[in-house]
Amino acid sequence: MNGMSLGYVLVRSVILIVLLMSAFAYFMVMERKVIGYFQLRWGPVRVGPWGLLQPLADALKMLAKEDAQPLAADGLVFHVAPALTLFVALAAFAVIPLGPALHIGGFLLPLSIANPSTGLLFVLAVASLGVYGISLGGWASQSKYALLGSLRASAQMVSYELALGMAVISAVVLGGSLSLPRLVAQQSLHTWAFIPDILGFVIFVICSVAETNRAPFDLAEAEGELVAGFHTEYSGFRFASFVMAEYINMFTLSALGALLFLGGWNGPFGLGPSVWWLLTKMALYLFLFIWIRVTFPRIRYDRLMQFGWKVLVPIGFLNLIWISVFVVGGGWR
Amino acid sequence: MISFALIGAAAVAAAIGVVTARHPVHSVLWLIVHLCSLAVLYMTLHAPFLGLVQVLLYAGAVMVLFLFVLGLLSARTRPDPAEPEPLTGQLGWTIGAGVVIAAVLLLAAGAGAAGANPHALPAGFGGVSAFGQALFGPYLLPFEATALALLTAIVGVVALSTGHDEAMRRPPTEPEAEPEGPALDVSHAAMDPRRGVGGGRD
Repeated sequence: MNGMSLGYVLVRSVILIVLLMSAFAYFMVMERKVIGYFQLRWGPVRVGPWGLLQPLADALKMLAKEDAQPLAADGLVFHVAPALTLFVALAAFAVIPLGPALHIGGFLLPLSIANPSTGLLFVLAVASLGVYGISLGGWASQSKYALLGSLRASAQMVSYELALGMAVISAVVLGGSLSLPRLVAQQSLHTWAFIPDILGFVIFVICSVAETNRAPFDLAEAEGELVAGFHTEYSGFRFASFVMAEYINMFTLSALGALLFLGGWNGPFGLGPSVWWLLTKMALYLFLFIWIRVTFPRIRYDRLMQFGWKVLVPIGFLNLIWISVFVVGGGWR
Repeated sequence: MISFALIGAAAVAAAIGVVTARHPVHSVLWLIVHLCSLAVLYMTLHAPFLGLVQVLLYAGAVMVLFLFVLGLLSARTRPDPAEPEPLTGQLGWTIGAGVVIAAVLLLAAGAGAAGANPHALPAGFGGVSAFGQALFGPYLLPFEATALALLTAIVGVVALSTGHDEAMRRPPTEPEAEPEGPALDVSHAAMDPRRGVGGGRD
């Protein structure tokens, strides 16, 4: 097995998709539980022990619901948009390495579907297509709330992509590569990248919340003004596809944050590499997503765009200059 | 070679879709498919970096702007299939021009293929560092000149769009001072049936 034959790639892709879907299901439970405890209530407790069968009930409900479509909707685009959103979210995860390749009795198991030398760029390129699912979904619904929500979402995603790119480039300059395993290897040789690049890490965290359209940046689905934003007219499994894509994008961004800034699969205090370190860091990062969501009120739309363009982007540029000076002036070497 | 031909055919089909689609938003979608297949073509031609940048910039950023504007402008209009073609006779001219361009390109490709050896690529060709060294080495001056031209265009657009509209000059940073905040205003515009979506404040 060289890990490259088509069948082997297919098998690993199916495993990855199943893993991502089940992670999504149980992250939903965790989110509802955590938000419940933050707000002094129990969260889901009725279905199964401690509410653990809740995702099954939700999945059944979603699949059984009517697949409604507005009369004026653009049929083909309306159907393609949620599928596209979910496809892009899953495809971006394909090049995320979860750890060094495992050897199980002479059997090589690489922990990513593909490992191109420009893996980081691939994630960014594929993720940049995610905005189409949202803007097309809103447009194809031919409803005012949906259109306004999708316009907000796409403007926000395109704006924050720039600051996110700045933060990612600073990590790339520091590690000197576009390959995620190599960036992790660089961090294991020196220190974790967030130590010189703390500003880049902070910008990355803020932008990852904005990129996934999560509270307090969830203007796209501000229920007080826009009902549910771009997915107002969607129901059943198509609606679930949008939600699934949002959570899988959160997984991708948390993995990216851990790989770029938090030492990837290296343990703290020089402890050896393991998949579990990366998963732990991702879990902490995802907890931060929930924590931010329950703590901060939604900010106003014009403030959001100003914050992105007038605060994050300039700081991102300055941080990039600082990291370049750091690297040219000797840096880690 | 087979994958190149398949993806090339997909690119051509998408390009035909761009010009034959009756709804402008559908044309934009075909154009996105076309640009993505071009990116895959670049990858099969040993230029992976160019392919990714093609997706990132053209498909991921430029076309979003197209979709934005066209989606707003045509939010309510549905093309009438019975409506006659506004530009009469364009089909014949288009096909004629297409055949001529295809012939010229085929001749040029034939002439180029005679001398070139596709297997003699230098190591690292099309990679990030080779690309960067070409861009900031021999092509530095054209690259910077392009940047300057784009900057001029941006300044021009800002100057043109703010020059003659009083409403645009109001500082958007003080919404508290106004009885109507911008977000509120947009939702009013959307509620007003006479204006339609994106009617704005004019």
